[in-house]
Amino acid sequence: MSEIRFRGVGKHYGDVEVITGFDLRIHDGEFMVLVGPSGCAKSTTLRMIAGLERITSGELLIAGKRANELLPAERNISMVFQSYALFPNMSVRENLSFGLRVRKTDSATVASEVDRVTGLLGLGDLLDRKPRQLSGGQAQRVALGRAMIRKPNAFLFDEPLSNLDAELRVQMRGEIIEMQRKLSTTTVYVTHDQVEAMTMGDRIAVMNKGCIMQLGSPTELYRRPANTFVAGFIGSPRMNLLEPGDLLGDCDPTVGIAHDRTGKLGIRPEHLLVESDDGAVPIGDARVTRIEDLGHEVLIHLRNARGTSLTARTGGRIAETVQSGQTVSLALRFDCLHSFETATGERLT
Amino acid sequence: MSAAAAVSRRYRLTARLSQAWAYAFTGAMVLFSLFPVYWVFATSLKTKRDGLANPPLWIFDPTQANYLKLWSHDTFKFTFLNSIIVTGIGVALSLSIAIPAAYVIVRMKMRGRRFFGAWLILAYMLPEFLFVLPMFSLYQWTGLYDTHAGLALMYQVHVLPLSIWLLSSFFGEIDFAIDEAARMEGATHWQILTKIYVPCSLPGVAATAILNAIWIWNELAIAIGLTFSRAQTVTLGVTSFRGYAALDWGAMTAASIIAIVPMLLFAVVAQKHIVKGLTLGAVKG
Repeated sequence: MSEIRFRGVGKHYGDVEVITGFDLRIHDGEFMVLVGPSGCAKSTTLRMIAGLERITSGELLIAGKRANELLPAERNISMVFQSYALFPNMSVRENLSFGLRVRKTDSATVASEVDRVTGLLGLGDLLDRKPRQLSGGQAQRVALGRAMIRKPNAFLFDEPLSNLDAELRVQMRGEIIEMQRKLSTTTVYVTHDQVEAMTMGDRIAVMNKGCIMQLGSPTELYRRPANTFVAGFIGSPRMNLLEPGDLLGDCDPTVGIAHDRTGKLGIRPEHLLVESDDGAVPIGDARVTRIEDLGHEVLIHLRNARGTSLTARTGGRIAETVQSGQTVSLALRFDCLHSFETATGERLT
Repeated sequence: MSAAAAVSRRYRLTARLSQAWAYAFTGAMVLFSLFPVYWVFATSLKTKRDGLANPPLWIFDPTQANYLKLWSHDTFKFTFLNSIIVTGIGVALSLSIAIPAAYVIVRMKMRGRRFFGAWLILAYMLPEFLFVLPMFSLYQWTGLYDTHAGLALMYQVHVLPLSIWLLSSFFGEIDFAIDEAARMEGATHWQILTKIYVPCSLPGVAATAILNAIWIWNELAIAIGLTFSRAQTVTLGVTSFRGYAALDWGAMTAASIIAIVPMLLFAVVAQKHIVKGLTLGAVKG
């Protein structure tokens, strides 16, 4: 069992309160992603699990035992850092075996564990190289190997892919997921990249200002965001968040959805239809301000007569008919609308 | 010739001229700073008569008599050996204290860190004699007076602040995540220091050791104050050629040349480390 549990955890730096009353339960073998904007305390949360940050109040339980006072080494947790943090003076072999050697593991076991990990990650040819002789992807793989070799209670990842190029990031993403599924080790993964969050996590905790704004599966977060923060954060391009009447004023068909005109409306870009009335309610015209043609899909940025900026996502073929500056008709599907309370931003429907 | 070509030619000419000035200025500075060394070296190769000639002789018959005289001069040989011992102890002592101290300063949240930093600089700037006078009685009382260990210990007053300051900047260049990764792997602070920090900062450690060795080897004021006969260093050995009524210029200059040879060789051999160490982190890769 290697469940990780926060019970009312708080973290202060002097008078500055970073996290207050934080509760989270990460199940044994689960892949939990902490996602949020810079400064939301996701890395601090991860570092508290690692033991690299002291917990000011509350309780952290790892495998059912209180871990607040345990040193990082006593928690049997491995961490992969954003900068990989490989030891520059050591070869790949020495990097991989460092944790075992400082724990005085016998040399035969060290050798066999190094063989096991190098086999799993395909590091066989790199064992005698120094970190400076590795590419970004190779260095990342060595960091993964170093994390795996001790068979830890949990893996912690602190934005491990942010230094890689787009192609390698996709590849490494797959390798991390595969490794986690194979080992079934509890994993906590911090990222600000929502694509990583959506594609990797069993569950995602969306964080802001030291609080969890929503905890759920990627599908739940996307389909039923609990508040305007999550609605705006999850999904790219972000959800169109509108005040009532932003579309057509008093005769706005969406006004009825928003409770007593006090609610905010959320429309995912793919639910805003351009030049199409395919069973949707027309919501007037808008001028195309910019088109981003991504090939398989087109993002159309619009501004309507009330000055409201909107983004629509459509299939690639529309790029042939719609041009920047052109006025187009808009429609939306009511069954896909989200509504939120204006004052608190909480979901209404 | 086109206007562009003329401009390009003028630009090249200006660049060459400024380069020539730079070389000329540097050359003049090198000559200026090396002239005393040349003068001492030339005197060491002159006979007594040639050495005292007025006006000075620029062309003379060199002699090795002064160097041969050193060979039979027991005091000089003894002080030379003392310097090797004191420098060895002093450098070892300074590194063994400064390395852990620099690690603590850089990596641990310590109260009064800024005050400590200011104290380091202040201690480095104070004149050596300031420490000699109050220490004289204490050294006599504790038995450290005129001993190798006592002298090496006193030198720490000067070399430790410099060493801690230098090593702190070298250690500060190491990504803190490496330290954290090692802690996660189960390493103690001592293991992190010895297995990661020191090997990663080897050029910096070497540069610090070399600078300390040079300073200790050349020191005179503390050596005068805290030694009498048993632990006298080579800087005092050089002055032993001064009598009550006369100075043996030839032997004294030969002794000076011999005295600077070890540090000169040390500096030449380790120049790569010194430059690498002192520029460590100056340019981010």
